[in-house]
Amino acid sequence: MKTPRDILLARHRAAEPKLDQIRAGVLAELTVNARPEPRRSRTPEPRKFFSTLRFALGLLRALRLNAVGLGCVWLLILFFKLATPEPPINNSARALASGSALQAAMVEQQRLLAELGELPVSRFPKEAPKAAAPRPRSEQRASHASA
Amino acid sequence: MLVVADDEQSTVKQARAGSPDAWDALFRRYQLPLYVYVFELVQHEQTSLDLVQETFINAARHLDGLRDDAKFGSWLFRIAHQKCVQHWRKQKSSPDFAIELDDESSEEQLDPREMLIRREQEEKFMTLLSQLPPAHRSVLLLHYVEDFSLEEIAVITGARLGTVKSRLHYARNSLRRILGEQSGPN
Repeated sequence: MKTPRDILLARHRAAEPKLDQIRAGVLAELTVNARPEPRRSRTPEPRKFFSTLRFALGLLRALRLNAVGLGCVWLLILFFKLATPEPPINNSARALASGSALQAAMVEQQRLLAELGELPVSRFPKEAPKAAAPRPRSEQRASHASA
Repeated sequence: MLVVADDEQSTVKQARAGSPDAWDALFRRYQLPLYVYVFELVQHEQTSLDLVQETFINAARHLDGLRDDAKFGSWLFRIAHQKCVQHWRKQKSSPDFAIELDDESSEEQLDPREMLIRREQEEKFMTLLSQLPPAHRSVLLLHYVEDFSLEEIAVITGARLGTVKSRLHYARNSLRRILGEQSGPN
């Protein structure tokens, strides 16, 4: 018994001469189209570049009103930015404030560490000792004698 | 596939390199199965020839799009299937679509009784095939004409694997109903 494939192919075998013609035609077209290919590939880059440039210029020309509008908006933003300057920041005051805060924090940390290590808190003065003002020797002697 | 895969792969490779002989071999191998597939879907001789030609031209132009050389056959049938779908879409707007059936199948020298049985059987098969919905017909043709796997048929027709399975099942049952009845008593 014939398979469905055999039946189908046998039924359409009459179309083969026409299919041969089609095949020949497509092959002829293929060989014709294949020939000028190398000639075209010699200068593809400049052509591509110029076409891209032309496209970009065309796009800019078409959107020139939008570009001008956007430019104006940016100019306005820049103008307002320059017209309202920020108040100057006192750097030295800020540095001083941060310095004293840092010192206080360090002292606090030391105190906490001392507590943890059961060390006498008195060893860590809360404030740095004030340097004694130099006095004349005669005054020093008088104070010792009275003591 | 019916063609030895390695041979076809090397032929496709040569075709990629632009060898006309390789293209000739590929087209020669697929022209009739493609035509059968397209004809059984569109049921019009000239349209089928045109679609086969368009398929060949498309294949030659877009061979770079083929990733796996071993799948050239299914890729070619996919192009043909898409051409048929495009044709159906166009056809919806043109009602003047005459159905031409080529009945010139060459009769070999057979016993008249045997010839009659064969013709009757063929006619029943072809009648049944043309009665199936296009989607089922397409699956059946791909399976019987080119022996494509279900996965390949899914790729060609753009349907899911489950859909292809059910379509093939339906089409086979319909075929069995006629062909089984024919071969059963013998």
